[in-house]
Amino acid sequence: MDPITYQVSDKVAILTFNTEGSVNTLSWQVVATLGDRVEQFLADDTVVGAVITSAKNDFIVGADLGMIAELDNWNGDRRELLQKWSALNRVLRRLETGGKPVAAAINGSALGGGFEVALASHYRVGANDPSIRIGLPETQLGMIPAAGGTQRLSRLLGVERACELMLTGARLTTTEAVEQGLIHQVVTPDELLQTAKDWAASAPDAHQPWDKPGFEMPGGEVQGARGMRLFERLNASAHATGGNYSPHVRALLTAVFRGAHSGFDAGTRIENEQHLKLLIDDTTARRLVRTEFFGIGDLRKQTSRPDVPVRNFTTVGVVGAGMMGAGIAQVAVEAGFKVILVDLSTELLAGALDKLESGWRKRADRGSITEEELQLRINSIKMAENISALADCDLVIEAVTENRAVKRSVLSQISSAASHAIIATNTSSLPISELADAIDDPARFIGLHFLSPVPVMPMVELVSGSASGTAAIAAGFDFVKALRKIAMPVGDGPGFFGTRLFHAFVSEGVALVAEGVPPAIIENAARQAGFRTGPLEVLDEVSLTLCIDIIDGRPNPENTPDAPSTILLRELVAQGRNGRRARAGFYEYPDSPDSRKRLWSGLASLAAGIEAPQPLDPGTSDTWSKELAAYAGRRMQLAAALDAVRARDAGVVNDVTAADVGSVLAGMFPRHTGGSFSFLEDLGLSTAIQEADLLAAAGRAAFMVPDSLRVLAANERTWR
Amino acid sequence: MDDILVLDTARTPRGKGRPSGALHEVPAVELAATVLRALSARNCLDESLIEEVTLGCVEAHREQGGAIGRIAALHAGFPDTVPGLQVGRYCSSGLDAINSVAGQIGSGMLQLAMAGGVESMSRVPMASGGSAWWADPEVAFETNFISQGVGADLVATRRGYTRERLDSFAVESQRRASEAQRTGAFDKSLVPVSNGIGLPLLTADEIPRRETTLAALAGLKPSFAQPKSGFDSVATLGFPEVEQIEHSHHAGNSSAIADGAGAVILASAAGAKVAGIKPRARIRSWATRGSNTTLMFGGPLPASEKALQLAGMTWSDIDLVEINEAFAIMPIWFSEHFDLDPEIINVNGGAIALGHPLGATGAMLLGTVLDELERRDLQVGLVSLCVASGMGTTTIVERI
Repeated sequence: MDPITYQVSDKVAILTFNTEGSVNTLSWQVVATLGDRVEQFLADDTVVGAVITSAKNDFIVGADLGMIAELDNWNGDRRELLQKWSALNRVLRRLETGGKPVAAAINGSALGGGFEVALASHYRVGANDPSIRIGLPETQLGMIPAAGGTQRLSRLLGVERACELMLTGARLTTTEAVEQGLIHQVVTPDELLQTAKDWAASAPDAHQPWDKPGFEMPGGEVQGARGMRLFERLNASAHATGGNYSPHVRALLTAVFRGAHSGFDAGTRIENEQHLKLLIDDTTARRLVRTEFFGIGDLRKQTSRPDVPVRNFTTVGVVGAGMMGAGIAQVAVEAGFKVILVDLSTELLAGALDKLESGWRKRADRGSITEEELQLRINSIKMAENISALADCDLVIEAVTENRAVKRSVLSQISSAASHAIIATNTSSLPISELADAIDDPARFIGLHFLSPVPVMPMVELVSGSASGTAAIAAGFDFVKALRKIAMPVGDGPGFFGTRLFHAFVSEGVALVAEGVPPAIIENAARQAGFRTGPLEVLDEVSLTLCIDIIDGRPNPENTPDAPSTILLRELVAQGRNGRRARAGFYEYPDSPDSRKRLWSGLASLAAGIEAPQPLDPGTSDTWSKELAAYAGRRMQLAAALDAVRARDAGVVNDVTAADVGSVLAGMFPRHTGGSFSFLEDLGLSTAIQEADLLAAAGRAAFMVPDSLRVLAANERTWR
Repeated sequence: MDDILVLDTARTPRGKGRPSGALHEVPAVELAATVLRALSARNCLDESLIEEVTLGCVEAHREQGGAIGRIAALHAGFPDTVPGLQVGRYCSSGLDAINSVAGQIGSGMLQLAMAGGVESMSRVPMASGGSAWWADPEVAFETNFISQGVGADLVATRRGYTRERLDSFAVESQRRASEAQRTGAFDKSLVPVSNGIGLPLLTADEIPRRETTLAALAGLKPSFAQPKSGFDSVATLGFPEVEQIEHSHHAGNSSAIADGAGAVILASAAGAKVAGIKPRARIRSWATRGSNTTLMFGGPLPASEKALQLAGMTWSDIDLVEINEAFAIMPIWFSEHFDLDPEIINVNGGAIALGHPLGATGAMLLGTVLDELERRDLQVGLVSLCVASGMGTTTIVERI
């Protein structure tokens, strides 16, 4: 198949993208073909201009990210790499300076490299189809636009707006894009090609604004007084947000700051160099692509779903109208299911319903859903105080409190009331096999571990117990898919995968407190190591007793009752410091709304009374706290990563790329590493083992190295 | 090394560095030329003997740019054989101009020269020239750049300096400055600035507020509490032991923005003899050091240690200290670190009360300390300034 066809129509060359696969992407071969087509067009005396468009539903959705994966086996030749990776830049520069007008007919989404092709065209027409998205979202995967996008967008919109769009990875509709000046015109899909052709045939000026004499940067020179101040602000806020793991943000800002001040060609060289630096001198971009693009993509394909027919179900019961139950009810309604929400408490039910309705109403007021959709949603949810109301449900999700006895009792009632339904328990840590015998037929029982807040979190852990049947498992997959969430299949076991890693992370944070590391350092260390929040902050959020419940329910090497971290947790709870809801935990919560919470000043003396191994001696240099934070951050990462290996040994997960995704989306593992297994691989298994052995020797059971890891390291292998 | 002699010192009054300030209508070149002319006239100097005019200036661009030492010398009416140079090291530029000329005199390369600094902050605003340090993303990220005000708050947080302690220092600075004005402590070096038709615009420092009280300062809002700026978070990247930064600096305990110029005549013994001017003092040593950029204000400590060492002195040899009051933490940290008697530090107040015309302050402080040594009949003074990005410059001067 020819990835880009060349046809002539009314003296206009039509270059139509139709690359291999379901969407148009830019592979090395496609880039080379585009180069050929551009030369063909410029040499073709029968045409006066060109239109670039697509034969698929999308325009071009970006680069073929397989290119990024290749870089894990790169030969180290920087000169050759730069030459290869600047190919699209050269082709696009040739296109825009060839002297003949080029219009992009944007019939579908134009993202990343795809929009960069459009930006190199002199005129951009979009179809007024609301599903089309336009933008340069590369930073969302740790990369930057690298086919002139940073340079053209800056010169088109000014650096401020360009940076904002690229830093947020904004995806605009064509209407928004024309309003904001990214494209020139919007027409109906029927008129699209003709409009572009007419423009190209009308012998317009075939120069980009930035190639015309006297060009001035919109919004002023990037290095003028205003631009300087802008970059002071952008640098600081981006650095503050991304911490130590924002190389892509730094590269993007550098490409714009240095590049937009340069001649155009030097600007694209700067951009190319920054992009490659990101890809070869740092692992973040490659890992984000592997884990979040390919890993999530594969999980969405649900290849582990048992091969049984899709069972149509329309009515979903949710038992428990707390935060989790209400959240599950909400996403189920939004996915089009009829939902029956059951709770013993009328008050809780009324409150949940009220909150759901007002949330939807707000969206209707904003125009993001129609009035009909609003009514449909409101009519789709019913409240009941009695489980017998669930008789006709196809799927019932139990979402009551995280307590084995309560769950068993509720599940047994559901089992009798909904005799044909698939039954799922929403639990973050209780092994479902310990609940299964509350169901008459455990084959219809699975676990669905939703994460909080349900409407926001993209992943659901799908737990198969030893007795779960294929129909139930398949239904779980289908339900999660209908919610447009990612189903992460996991084996049964305490904490499954996500909670297990989360717990290993926060426990290590508490262990560091017990060892006398200043709590502020621990909190900052976690954030600086890439965790979304500090372990103590998040423990206060989920409550310390929940964490103790997990410890009690899961006898694992570290969570022994006499571990220093466990003693510290129990001591805090004994003092009434159970977390944010108690308004006292690791933090103090002032009553006045304008003062912020502060770490409790009593932690150090509490820790001093607990016998614990001594942490690294930080010394007294200027950078002692930085070194101690790096050490603490590494320990939290390593503790979680080692537990992920143990989980894999226990059969909770198998595929490490899927597990990498789960570690990030369900286990809070630092995103920039690409996940817990990637982290160990990039650290080097031998290094990880050495560091862990030292800590284990000091009495830290969390760092006992699984045999499977030693075997891999001894054979100089990894999991992939 | 030859003796490096200070023949005379002069400075303009410091005007408020804003459009309502008395010196706002006077461009930097005029401020500088006023001081250069006065030094020459007071000493009946044969201007053809001047071998260099080196001026410090921080925002060396626009009307303040382009080797302002040379342009000011020309504007002062010096012969066109007199070259000029502009130097920049942020807040110590004026003192660094002196040190740079001192080195050339000490090595025998110059016999007589003028050195000093100038800044019209009301006309060429602070940071208006831009800098790779904070605007170039590569550099800003590498150095954990934060603004100086947040840096000062970071120091206060780490060292446990309360808002009240900083404010008390500021009140005392105001009291001392007003007292110094009343008793004429600044008169010897002061040169009035005139307007375009020769009428006096400003004859004394414009900024001190004698009436400042602790209670009045307590009402001022912190100037650098901008959580959205991201600076607080960036600061914790370098100093993770800080849970959150206490923002304790404000307009009343930070240096005031100001306009002004100051300069000195430096010479070798031979140069002084040829010029026929009696030297007032000699430069004993100087040093500049760098330290952590985020912490910003650590530089004066190692710079002063080095300068003392080079002079073969200890703190017991130092009679008076001028440590620039960029922010109240600086003099507090400095005296705490070296365990100095508050009664020898900034005895006539400092930049909190008097203002800090960036490029000029270093040269002004050298004159201030020398004038006061003479008034009190003491011998040795030490001048030190904290410098953005973690540097510090110190000069030790001794009366003859």
